[in-house]
Amino acid sequence: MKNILFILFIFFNISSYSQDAVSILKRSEEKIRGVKSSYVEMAITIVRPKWRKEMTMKGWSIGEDYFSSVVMTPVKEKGTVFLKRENEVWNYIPSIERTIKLPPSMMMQNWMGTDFTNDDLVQRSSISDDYTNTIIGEENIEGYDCWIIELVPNEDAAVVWGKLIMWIDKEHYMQLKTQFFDEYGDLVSVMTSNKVKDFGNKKLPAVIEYVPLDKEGNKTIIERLIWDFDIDISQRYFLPSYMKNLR
Amino acid sequence: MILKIALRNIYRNKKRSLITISSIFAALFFIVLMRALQFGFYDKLIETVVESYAGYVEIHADGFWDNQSLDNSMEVDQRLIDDIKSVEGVDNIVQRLQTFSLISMGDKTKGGVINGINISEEQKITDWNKKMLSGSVNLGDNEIIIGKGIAKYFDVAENDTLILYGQGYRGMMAAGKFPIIGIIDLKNPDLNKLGVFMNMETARNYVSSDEISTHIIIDKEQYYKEEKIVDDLSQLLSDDFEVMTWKQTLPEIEQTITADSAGGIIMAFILYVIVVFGMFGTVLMMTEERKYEFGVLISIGMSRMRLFGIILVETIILSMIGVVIAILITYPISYYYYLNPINMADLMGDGADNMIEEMGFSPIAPMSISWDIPLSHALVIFIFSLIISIYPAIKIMKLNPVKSMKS
Repeated sequence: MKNILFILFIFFNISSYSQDAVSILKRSEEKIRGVKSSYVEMAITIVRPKWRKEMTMKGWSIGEDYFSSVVMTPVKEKGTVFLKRENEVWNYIPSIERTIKLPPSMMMQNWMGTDFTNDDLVQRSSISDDYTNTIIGEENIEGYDCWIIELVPNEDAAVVWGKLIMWIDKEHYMQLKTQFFDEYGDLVSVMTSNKVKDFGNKKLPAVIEYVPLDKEGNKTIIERLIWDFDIDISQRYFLPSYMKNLR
Repeated sequence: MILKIALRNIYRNKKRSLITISSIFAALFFIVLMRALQFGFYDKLIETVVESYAGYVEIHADGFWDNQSLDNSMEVDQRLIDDIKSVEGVDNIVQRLQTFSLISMGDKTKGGVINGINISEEQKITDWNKKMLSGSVNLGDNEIIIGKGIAKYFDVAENDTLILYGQGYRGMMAAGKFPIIGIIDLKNPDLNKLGVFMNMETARNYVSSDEISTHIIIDKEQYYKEEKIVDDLSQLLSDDFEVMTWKQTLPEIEQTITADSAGGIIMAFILYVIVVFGMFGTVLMMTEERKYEFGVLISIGMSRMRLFGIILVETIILSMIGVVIAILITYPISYYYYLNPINMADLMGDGADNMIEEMGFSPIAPMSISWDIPLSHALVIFIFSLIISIYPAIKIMKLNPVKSMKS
């Protein structure tokens, strides 16, 4: 799940010829590293067995280390800010005018009520360096030819997963599907990406769906409505003291 | 005739009678007072915890108890309320919206239970005015009353503002600033330490919902069995609801009572053993002493059955006298301590009141004035006296008049 950021800021890449798993993942991963900055407007839908909640957010990022988002709707939560600075996480809640730095104990809690944890957004491990990778097959997903790559974490890697299986398309190096396995080899969650769109001059999946399999009926859907890259963003957008001014 | 002889026999040997009566009296006296104190304590416990706030019977949406999340709440309409009110034994009902949140002020934060209540309805169950330590009980919008433990923890008073922060309804965030308008002592240590009270509209707004409640609390008519109400309600309501008594929602109180009561029963048992052997001793003595007399009576033609009848009546009368005296003396004592409860803290010395409150009890323990206690124990003694009289009966049946008169 360390790939959330990765997916959030995935990049278009030039197609290439058949190659080995490590270089495929490197290519796919470079999409993040290649981004200088981005601005995103997204709609998040949280699906629960008895209800669903929709929210819209704006987000800014610089590189991998800085990310901030502010809630636009629902109105009651408008102005709620989430800020990631390197490996720190901050929250600003307008109704109580409080800036909160999340303690490590809260890192495993939900991010904004979704199925993702705060930790998922902060964790940084490299899929090409921290895993041993092998191509185990090929499959066509929604018209895209994909490699199926199995990723087994290296012994010294700080990774919670026992294994990942990723579908990466051959043309644009998009991660179209990822299965997450725990240390016992059981499938625990699935993330799929679809609705590939042109954002600026880049082809990217607009929608990602995350389904934790241990919680029946739970799902989180993130849809990017606007996605701009390499724009000028002021550094102060990522200062805790500026959080209350974000909108 | 039998009665007359028996009474005469009792009167004849005053010392023996007195010993029997006083041993019965002493045992019963201690047993009754001990049990009265225990039951009084339990009644007080139930009253402070159950009657004043938790309620004898509560209704939630099905599944709420196992997963106390707002997502397992219910919408209560007038029809549901009317249905519940139609059940026999139901006195008052109130709705509440309860959720967990963090309470914060300055650098301090602690967990708390937010209670959305309708104060005018709650007033019918327990008098909130009497329990206010300071401030007003009239909750306006966006105002809170806090338990005295919270006030102490944050060192706050009226007009200070606390921040509440938690999970709202259906994924919403719940956060807000609320000024304190009053501090309450609900005589229940848990509620005092955790309870934050606001009116229903404020609570619903806080969690971002319009209609939901988490609890319907039912106050029963006095002496009406809560189990009966639960049965009736379960029949009446659909599977969307769960009905529970305080024994299920507050099992620790039920368990405390059971465990403590077991200790009392053991004590009572020990006292019973003492009194029974005391009684048996006197009966044994009497039988041996009166062997000659029995022998004479049988040899001049008295039937053995009749003789046994006399002994039986004697034993019964003696135990009755002991029992009646014990009741006559213990009842006024219980009654006095019922009106003037014993403060355990005074008995145990400085700081004991805090300690007892920490454990979740009120240190004030009135005695129970229920007639069940003296009457049930009197009955036990009475039955024992009947069993004991089997011994002289056997002796009399086996008695050889000649031999007994010779010795």
